[in-house]
Amino acid sequence: MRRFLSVYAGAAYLFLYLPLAVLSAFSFNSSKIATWRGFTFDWYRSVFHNRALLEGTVNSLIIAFAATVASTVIGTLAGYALWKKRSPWLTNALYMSLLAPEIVTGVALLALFQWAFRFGHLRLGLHTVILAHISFSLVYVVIVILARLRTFDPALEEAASDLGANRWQVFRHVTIPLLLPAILAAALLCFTVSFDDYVITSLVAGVDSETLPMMIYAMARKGVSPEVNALSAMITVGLGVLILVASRLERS
Amino acid sequence: MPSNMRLRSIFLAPAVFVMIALFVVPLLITLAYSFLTRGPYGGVFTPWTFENYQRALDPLYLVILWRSVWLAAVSTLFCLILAFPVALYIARAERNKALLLNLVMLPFWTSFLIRTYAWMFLLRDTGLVNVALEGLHVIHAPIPLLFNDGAVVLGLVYGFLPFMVLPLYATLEKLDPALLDAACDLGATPWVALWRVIVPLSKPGIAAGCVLVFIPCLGAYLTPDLMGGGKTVMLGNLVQSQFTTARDWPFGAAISLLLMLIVLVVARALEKQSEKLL
Amino acid sequence: MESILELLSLSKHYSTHRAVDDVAISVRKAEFFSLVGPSGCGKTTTLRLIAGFEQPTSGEVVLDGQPMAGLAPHQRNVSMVFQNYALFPHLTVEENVAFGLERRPNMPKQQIRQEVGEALALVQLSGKESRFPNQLSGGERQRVALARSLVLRPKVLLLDEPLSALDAKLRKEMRHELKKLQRNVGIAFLFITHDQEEALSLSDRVGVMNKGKLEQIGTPKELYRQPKSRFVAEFLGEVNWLNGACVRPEAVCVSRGLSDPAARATAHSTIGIVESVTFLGSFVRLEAKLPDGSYCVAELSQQDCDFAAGETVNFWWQAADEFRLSGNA
Repeated sequence: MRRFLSVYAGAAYLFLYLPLAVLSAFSFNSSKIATWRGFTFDWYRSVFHNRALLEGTVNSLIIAFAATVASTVIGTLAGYALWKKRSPWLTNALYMSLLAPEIVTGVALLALFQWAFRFGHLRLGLHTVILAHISFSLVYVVIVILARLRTFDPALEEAASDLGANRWQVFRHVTIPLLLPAILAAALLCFTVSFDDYVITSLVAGVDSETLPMMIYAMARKGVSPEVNALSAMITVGLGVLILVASRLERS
Repeated sequence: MPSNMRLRSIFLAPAVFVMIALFVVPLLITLAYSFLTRGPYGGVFTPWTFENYQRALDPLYLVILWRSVWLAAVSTLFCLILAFPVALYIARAERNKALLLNLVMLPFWTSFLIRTYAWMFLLRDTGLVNVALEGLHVIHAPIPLLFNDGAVVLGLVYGFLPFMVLPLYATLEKLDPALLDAACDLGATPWVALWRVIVPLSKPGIAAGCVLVFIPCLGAYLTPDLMGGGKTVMLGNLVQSQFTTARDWPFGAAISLLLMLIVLVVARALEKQSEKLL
Repeated sequence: MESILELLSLSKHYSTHRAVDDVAISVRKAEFFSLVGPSGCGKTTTLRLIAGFEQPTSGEVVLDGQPMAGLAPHQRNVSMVFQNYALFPHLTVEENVAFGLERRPNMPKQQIRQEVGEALALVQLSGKESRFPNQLSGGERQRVALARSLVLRPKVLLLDEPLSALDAKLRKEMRHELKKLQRNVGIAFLFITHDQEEALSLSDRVGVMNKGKLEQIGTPKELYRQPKSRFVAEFLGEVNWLNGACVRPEAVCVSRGLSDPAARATAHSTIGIVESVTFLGSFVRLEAKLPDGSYCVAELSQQDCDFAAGETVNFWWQAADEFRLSGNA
């Protein structure tokens, strides 16, 4: 049975990685179709020269950055407070936001914004996307922080308090430094989740705040484009590296 | 101590605010919309009505509901069958468990969109699979591998496989290896031992994995859209179309809430047997 | 002798049970005071009430004349050495010990360094300033914890079973050092443990706790020789129940006949059949079964013991060695 499992697992890992590997390989293919014609960097070059794509990337980065900072701060504070004393209400709300299909959250947020816009002359734009991303990424941060706190010795905080540190000093000098790896891991996770989002973003983004996933989607719908291959390869490697770093941090 | 309480409230406040303002309130607004009527050019107006929910029960839409449930269930089943041996392998591995597990999760955390696109690249009429098969003269014309229900299932299974592996691994890892040895010692073949010892004991992991896969599959949007070419309409696609092209927000709101309701019911039902994340 | 710490009718009640029930203790200046009792008897809770991590349901904690009610842990001039030491893993030894001093406003860096150096010298850890806790042995970590607390010159040092994480040999060594340290710094130590031998060997006075209540306070000798309750008697050592009286094994004498005038049949003697004779190095332990089915244990020196299993022997003891006790265990 041991051998069967190994062979099977190997096939499964292949199944998981093959499509991405093939995609990346063909991003260097000088032909647009699926037969190998020659090695080239052309598609990568054309990606970097595509102004629209670059703009979309910048938008994605701005949104991801802003949402990450906000979610990480809010989520870390909330996670810490939940560790000290449970709040079934908040925990359930967060759990529901994790379960809710993206399409449901997306249209609900769209409905919110459209309703709120009656009270001011606002439109959909980067700001609405950022708010939406904070909403759905918050739960990820809380999960990571709570997971780390589960192995945190409460005596450390008590000792700090006993030695003369008030609540803020305890938090600043003992809790945060020890939580830092988990906070960074949560932030990286938040970043990847936000950067990659399509469904929610496409519903609440304005006309001039297109993100990279939205552009990729449009290109994918139209048909296979080698530029999309190149872009995909870069994004996959980039996000992959971020995730590896995040899991290293989480473990330390 | 009072200062403890105050600090805790301050720490919780932003998250509570975000959850209320950006999750609960939007859902409440959606709820309100689902009872309103659409305007001639979109938008929502009174009168209040149950019409949207009544319309949702129309056979036309029940078909979509059924298809969503069916495809999600099939995908979950395939995920389970595919993931179980992998989870078992990792659980029994002597070293590198964390690494093997991370390798399973890694693809999930890179772009879902890109991973779906990767399959499109492989399965199109001019995609790698067809080109390779034609090149090997196995077939003479491209087989339509994409834009059908099968492709959607493939996309869903591929997308959410890691979500099945993780909880299965968590449960299998805690199993006492001595149980398996005892079964074999008492005369069971590995196959029998698997079915009568391992599988029953991994029920919590199976339940958790099914929740984690079935729910996103049910509400899937991207996969049926891209892999199904818009021909496979699931609940997610229906909702999206109501909020964009069809401009029937009240109806879309009703469907999306029904979807949410089904999700909650399924989660609750399997929650008792599974292990929680939070 | 003046008292530095007073617990007045201190109680901590939970909905399910009373962790601390009307405890009254007065710890004197520079005293080594132990609180001893089985797990769950309330000694840790008492310590936490003094440190300020829990609030009492009723009663008061008074430190050097000042009531501690309403004061947070960081406002109290007591310091605690935790059971697992709670050293900050991200700080070096020096930074750990300096932690409390750095929280005090207007303390010049130079002075902090000096005091840290003195504290480390006190616990014999000079030279290890830049190590991290995970690079130290268990005994070394404990000394850092002690230095970290003592450098703040607390009025009372609270020690929560500090020796229980150490192996047996190290425990005995550390007991010695702890006692020396306490004499050296002249600060009152409030030491809790479940090990009665530890408590008796280290302390000036001991308080025995059981189920939240304080059973008895006294010097080790007083508690051992004159226990006021069955619980205290049985907790601090072995006892025999002979003819309704409580007698220590070492007070029991054994002989074959009643030739010794003191061994005449009196209310202070009984007969039994020897079941086992165990040689324990410095003394011999003799166990016998009495006519009423109960057991008697005697501790004898080698010379006094040439009995064998199966023999019928006489046990006798002095009236003065009996305990008059109240209550049940």
